[in-house]
Amino acid sequence: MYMGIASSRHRLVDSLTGFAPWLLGRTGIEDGRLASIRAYLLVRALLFVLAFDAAKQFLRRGHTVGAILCGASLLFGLAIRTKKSLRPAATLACAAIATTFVVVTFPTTANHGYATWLLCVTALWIQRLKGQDRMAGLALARWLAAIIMFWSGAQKLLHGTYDHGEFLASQIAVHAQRFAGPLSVVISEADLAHLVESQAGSGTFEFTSWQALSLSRAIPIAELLLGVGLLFGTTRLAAAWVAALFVLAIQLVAGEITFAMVMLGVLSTFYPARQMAAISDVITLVFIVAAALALSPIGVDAIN
Amino acid sequence: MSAAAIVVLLLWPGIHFVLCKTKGVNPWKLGGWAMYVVRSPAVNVRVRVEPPGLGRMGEACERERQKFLVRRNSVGSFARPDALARCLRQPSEPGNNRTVFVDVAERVFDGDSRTFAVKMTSYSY
Repeated sequence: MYMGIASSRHRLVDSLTGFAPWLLGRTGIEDGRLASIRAYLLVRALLFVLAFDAAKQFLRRGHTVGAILCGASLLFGLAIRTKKSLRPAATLACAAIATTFVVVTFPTTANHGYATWLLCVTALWIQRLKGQDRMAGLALARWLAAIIMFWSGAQKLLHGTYDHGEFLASQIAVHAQRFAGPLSVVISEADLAHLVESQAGSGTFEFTSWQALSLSRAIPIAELLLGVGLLFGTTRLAAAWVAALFVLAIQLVAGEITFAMVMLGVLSTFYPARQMAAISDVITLVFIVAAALALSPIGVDAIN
Repeated sequence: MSAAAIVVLLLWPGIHFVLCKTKGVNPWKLGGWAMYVVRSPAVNVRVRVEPPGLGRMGEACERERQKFLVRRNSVGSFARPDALARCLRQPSEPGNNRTVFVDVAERVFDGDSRTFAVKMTSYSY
């Protein structure tokens, strides 16, 4: 009996140690040095995302902590680009600032805050690893992209609020001016009139035209498939680009730039290094402008 | 460790869905990636005492009320108004030596009727 228990334990260990490399390999294998470069490119963009988020918190609540986090993020964001020797300190600062942010804002932390925190901590971990082990950290970052895409779609299907266009309909009813324009090509006039009328009460919120229903049902399926597509070599790069365009399009309509940029950053870990570097620069620029706007007399609510 | 973290990240949104359905957790919060599933729930809190008391709640209790509102909006029924009730039962507050009732009204989307409905939960102290 003792021999039986020992051998079953060995079988369990064997299966787990075989499962882990399989899991990590699903998002592609690269040289460990490239993983380290990717971690740096992520951090140098995320520091400015953190600066913007902290600027918004400082202005909305007048918290000293927000001002300190904003200043620290900007300082390390500039430092990481000027001296290579400062990268370890900037990466540690990124993880510390992101962690502080989540702790201070919990449980109201926005999901992009969790994504940023996970990426910052992963980047720090990549930096501490040696050689090819760094790929384990990069795999975690890439898996985060796949998980977010997959579960965004799966949650919509599970909650069932895209079967009859319920969510989109309720958003159009409340934010008619923002959404009705972009979606007018697929929403019938009858649907739109009904939604505007429903806005005064509590419903019903649904579409009847086949075009609007098709769009609503396609969204979660597309997200799910894109998430899965990131896990196979033949579809990985295409899925990463299509997912980026998909997320950007949706977030532009919704007016949510922060999550869009964080997703762009994590999806860029699948792109060739030069393209990832260019995207890192774009994200940095967007958030320098956003942070400046947030701190300017124009006001906090101009950017979200 | 990386594989373990991936497994946790893979499983958590499923658990998050269950918590949204059973405990009223806000789908937009707690990293379940369920944004744009429903409109963020709207929560309101009403406080009453029996027998009816004199005066309004003080600033400290109003702050507790706001804190509870924020937590309730994020974590659903995991957030209880215990701290608010304790504040209201202090000597200078209207709940002193009285029964305090905290009524929580949450506007949620009902998928079957495709309308918004108000879900009421009452706590007594």
